[in-house]
Amino acid sequence: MNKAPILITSNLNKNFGNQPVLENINFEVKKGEKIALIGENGTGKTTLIKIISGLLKPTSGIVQIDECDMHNNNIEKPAIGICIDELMLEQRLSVFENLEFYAKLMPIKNPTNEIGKLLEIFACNHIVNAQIDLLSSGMQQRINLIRSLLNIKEQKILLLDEPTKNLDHNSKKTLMNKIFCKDDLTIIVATHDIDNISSWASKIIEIKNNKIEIKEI
Amino acid sequence: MKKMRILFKKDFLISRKEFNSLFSGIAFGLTSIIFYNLTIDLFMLDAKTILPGLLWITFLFCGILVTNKSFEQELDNGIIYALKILNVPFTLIAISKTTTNFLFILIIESVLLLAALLFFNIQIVDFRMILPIIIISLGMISLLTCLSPLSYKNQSGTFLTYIIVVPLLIPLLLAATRITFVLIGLIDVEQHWLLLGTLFSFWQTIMSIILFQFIIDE
Repeated sequence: MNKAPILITSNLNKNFGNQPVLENINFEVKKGEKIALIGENGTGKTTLIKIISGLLKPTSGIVQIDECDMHNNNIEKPAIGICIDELMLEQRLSVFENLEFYAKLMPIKNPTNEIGKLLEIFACNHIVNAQIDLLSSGMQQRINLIRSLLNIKEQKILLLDEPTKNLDHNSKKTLMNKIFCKDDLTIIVATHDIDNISSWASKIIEIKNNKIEIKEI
Repeated sequence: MKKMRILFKKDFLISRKEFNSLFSGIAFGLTSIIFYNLTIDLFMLDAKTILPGLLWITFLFCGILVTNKSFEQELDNGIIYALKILNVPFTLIAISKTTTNFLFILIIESVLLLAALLFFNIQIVDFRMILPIIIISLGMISLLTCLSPLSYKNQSGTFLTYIIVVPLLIPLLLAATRITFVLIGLIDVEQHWLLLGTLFSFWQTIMSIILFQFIIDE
């Protein structure tokens, strides 16, 4: 069956000053598709992720998720998950206090249960009371991933920017086997981990010379 | 209301864990009061005539100390991004931060006022003036809180913030000083200063919270 697209980007352009970073970006993502976003350093992967999420305004063009314009500030945006460079965690609070804070802001029926499940999946049960700034960068990344997955059932799309950064081998495997492989999950993952892409991605978008190239797998 | 409660709970939790700004505010304020006490010749001058003005300038700088890093984590760690993704209105973030900072400045002001009364041997005469002083403190702290992201991000922002803040706070500080004169029994109640202080404070609180979303968006 031909599914309707969840994400549509139309004629996206982004300049930083006079420097063009993204030019005429047009693509669609359907429900359940798994996109690997690749490209060399500085090609605009993070910029594209931020534009899709609505965090960064494009110079021109439109991003729609579930038919909602992501850059219209006057409307309620659809639920999305995002994990980017920024930690998005309050350093002075504990792991649980951080996750509970975000979970309560989401329409989740049983936040504590959901947090417990994800902590278990990422083997973080033992650091639940640890303060974020005392954790290693790998552990912080795990908690940041858990934060982005809290409302995974409600999310229209999950946007991850180099999610395997600082992660150990087991955590990478967990992420790929238990999260990326969920059938109904729509994800865009910006990554340099090209060797593992074929195990989870259905499509590759490569950014080169400010433009995109789409390859089916 | 639910989102507001959650944000406030988080900010309150952080305040409980980190008292740096509160302590630096109290330490700065106490040092100033001791300095005034040692340098002002009480045989030559009536302390009542100069103390309210000095106190409010001290409160202003304590307020700057308390609010300066209010949005440090939100901006450095991208928490503001996460909240935007979750459709949390920026006005709620501003209200929550203003409330916690307001509680901090009330604690600081209480300690400093008591210290000042003690050091200069002055008594509170008109307790009705405490409420207007609390309202004026809210106006001052809301403006400092909501403009603090400007000063936090860059050095020119710091300069710009004080250029904006100081003229905006002058009417409030004038009203606050006059009301403090009444508090310690130097003059009788002046209705126009009471009215100006209260209205200006409410106006400034509302404007700061509305402006906050534009400052953050920038």
